Amino acid sequence: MASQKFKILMLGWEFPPQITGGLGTACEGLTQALARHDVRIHFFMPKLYGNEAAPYLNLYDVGDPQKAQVQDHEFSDQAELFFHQIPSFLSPYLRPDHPVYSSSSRGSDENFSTPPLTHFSKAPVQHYGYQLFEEVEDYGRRAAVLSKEIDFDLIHAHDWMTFPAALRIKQKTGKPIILHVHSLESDRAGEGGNPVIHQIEAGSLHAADAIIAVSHYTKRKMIENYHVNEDKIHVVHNGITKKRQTSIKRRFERNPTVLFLGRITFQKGPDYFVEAAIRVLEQLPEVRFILAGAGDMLEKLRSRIRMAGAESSFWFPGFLLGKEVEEVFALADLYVMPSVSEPFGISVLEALHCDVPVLVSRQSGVSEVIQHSLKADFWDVEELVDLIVGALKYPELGRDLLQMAQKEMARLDWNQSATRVAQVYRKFS
Amino acid sequence: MPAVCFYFQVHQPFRIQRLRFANVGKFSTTPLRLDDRNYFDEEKNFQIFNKVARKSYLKTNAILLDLIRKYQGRFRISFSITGVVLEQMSLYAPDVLESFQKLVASGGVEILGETYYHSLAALYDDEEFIEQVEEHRSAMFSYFQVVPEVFRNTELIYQDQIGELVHELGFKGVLAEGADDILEWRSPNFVYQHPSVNLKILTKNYKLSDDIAFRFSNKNWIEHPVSAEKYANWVHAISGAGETVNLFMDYETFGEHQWEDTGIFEFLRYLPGFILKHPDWEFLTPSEVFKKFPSRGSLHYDRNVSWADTERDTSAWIGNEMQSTALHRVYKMGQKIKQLNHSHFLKTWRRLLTSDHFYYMCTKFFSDGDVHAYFSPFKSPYHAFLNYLAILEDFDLQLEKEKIIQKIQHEVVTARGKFHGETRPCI
Repeated sequence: MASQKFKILMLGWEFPPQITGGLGTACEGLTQALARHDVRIHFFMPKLYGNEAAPYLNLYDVGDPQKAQVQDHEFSDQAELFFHQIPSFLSPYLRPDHPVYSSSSRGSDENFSTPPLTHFSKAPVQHYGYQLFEEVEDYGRRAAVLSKEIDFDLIHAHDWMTFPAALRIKQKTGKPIILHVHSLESDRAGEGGNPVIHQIEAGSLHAADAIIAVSHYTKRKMIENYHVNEDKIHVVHNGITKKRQTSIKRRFERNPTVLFLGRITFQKGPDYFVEAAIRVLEQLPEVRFILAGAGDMLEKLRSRIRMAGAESSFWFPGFLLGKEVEEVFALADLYVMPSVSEPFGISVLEALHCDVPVLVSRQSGVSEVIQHSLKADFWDVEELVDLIVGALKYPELGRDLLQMAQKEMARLDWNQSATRVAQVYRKFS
Repeated sequence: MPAVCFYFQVHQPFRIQRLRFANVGKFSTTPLRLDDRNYFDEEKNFQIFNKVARKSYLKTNAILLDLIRKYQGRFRISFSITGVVLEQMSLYAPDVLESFQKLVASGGVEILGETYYHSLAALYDDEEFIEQVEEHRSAMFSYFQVVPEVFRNTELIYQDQIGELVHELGFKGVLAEGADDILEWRSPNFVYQHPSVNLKILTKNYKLSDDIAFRFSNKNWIEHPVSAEKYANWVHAISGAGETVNLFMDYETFGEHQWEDTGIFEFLRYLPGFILKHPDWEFLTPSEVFKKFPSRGSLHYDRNVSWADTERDTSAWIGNEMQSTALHRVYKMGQKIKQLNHSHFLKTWRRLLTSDHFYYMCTKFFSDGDVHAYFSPFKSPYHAFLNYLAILEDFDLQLEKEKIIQKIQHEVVTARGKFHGETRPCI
């Protein structure tokens, strides 16, 4: 492999700035770093919006979005990354403009599982978009067609949405597939989950030539849920993009503030955050809570807060992107991520990057790499309350924690993750 | 004739209870007198003490007693035993106390002085430091019928100023870490003295001490495994280049830090024989070393030196903001507590001064999962800090209540006195 570049066919589903969660951010960080590793990446996307260009990435415009066209670009250095648009309308997670939650007509409390496949065409699927499986199928078909025009050594696919496409291309070309698992259906939906997605995950993971898991936590889950052979699972923690120093100044002349930022869905544990918050107010009435994000549990939680008479202590800024995220971090004294199941949790690194100490659920991958965080089991509301109260009462704790956590952060960069991924590639050279 | 000088530290703290901020100030019982509110985790302390006693203290005591008898005065050692660990022996395992008493009575043991509570008082409150040293001195007399003549401070924390205090308290000498930047070109294997007062200093030979205390079972160490014979050869190699080899370590080294299966007990059992094989070498206790060898120069400790970590400083206890907050808050309470003249509160406060509480809050090595994490009863240094502060908050509220109670009592007594035509308050 000395001088020859690895040619990777990479199957993704979101890319900044159009993101719904950590996956897009991770794909950007990883591909950016891989580009410096003698790797040439053909990146397939269901839809491009034309504003994906990062400073390191020179994007051509796609001509007709209905055709599987190819756009490719040279980097300024020898690194290369090609973007391909597969026309499809994949929206695996909710988006702010999605009818599923922009309408508040759904009052159901049964948010924890996805209904069976037959409900699809009629009712909105709980936390997935309309006609999702058809889109997955469509994406796979078109990707397979498009792959014929491309010269590549390996298929690298991100999460279940793209796994059927990977399997199809492997069937056609015989090229090995590496499946990158950023989250599992059991993370997103808990005990239930959609049986079709479970099936896709189980089948694909067994067929994979290698699997990359974003944490040991996720690796364990794959072994437990799907009995995947553990020898082929490689753990590669996410990194953090070393952004320029944020221009937003931290604001201090305000009430002590605690932040939740993420989809307001079962997986992220916003209900535990709200319960803890209501009880923190009994001890420290001046504290303010920000519940930033959108999702199917928002209305329910708002009414819970109204019932507790705590509306004036909460702020709901909605779904935030880019600079807005930094602005909300600048308001916070503590970031809480009480996820029920969090394969990694990139937002924790972003909080630390913005000088906000963190309280994270033990059921998260990020707690493997950031020892210097407050940690609690997501269900232990009493413990969450105690840690939040303590951290707000004694800001020296936050300062000590940040100082040490930022040392840990310095060791976490995408370059290191890319090196580990390249090692996995090399197994197939 | 050069000597080997062994000193072992015996200490266990009273670890604190879990207390949540939500429960601060919420007293379920005894609304008036709150004496019995116990901040210490009896069950955990009992369990840990018993584990350490069975794994380490009892076995090592038995070996040492055998050796002292076998060599008829030629094998000698010294101990520093804190007041708080002796209280735990009395409370949880009287047989362990007896075993130490038997060992001390054998005649081959010198008992050293220190603070009763294994505290950092020397760095925060001279008066409190003196009181704790006095309390320890009388405890040594009542438990062992001895009066310590040589001092060692908590974690071997030492500086010139501490030396002056120790001298004022009547001690002849002190034990300190043989830190490189203090000794400079000098060897740790001689007796030194304080630059201005008549106080002799024994400096720990950290290389040979840590070979036993830390490296003994380390398979990556090039010298592993170390036999008693090999180790005795290292000691003998100092012949002609030193007068005393000071081997200072935690007593839990034997059986707890180095588990039985590492061979540490066999090592200890055979070491004295190999050391004494060389006719020039003997074992002496610190005060015997001071009697036998003159000082070879004065040693100036211009910073707080300890025996901890590679830094050999106090950063394991006072290295971050949480630790300094906790320490300042607890020492600030001292005056109030002494004014209340309430023995239970004073005792509680002093148990909260034990250095271990602050060590648990140390963040500098937390991520490596090393000794700091191993010895902590808390999930993280952050939990340790919050728990300690919750207890201080609660304790503060108790003190305020007590103050009010005392004031009311005083007023009642004075009123009653006036009624009876007396002016002197009496109960």
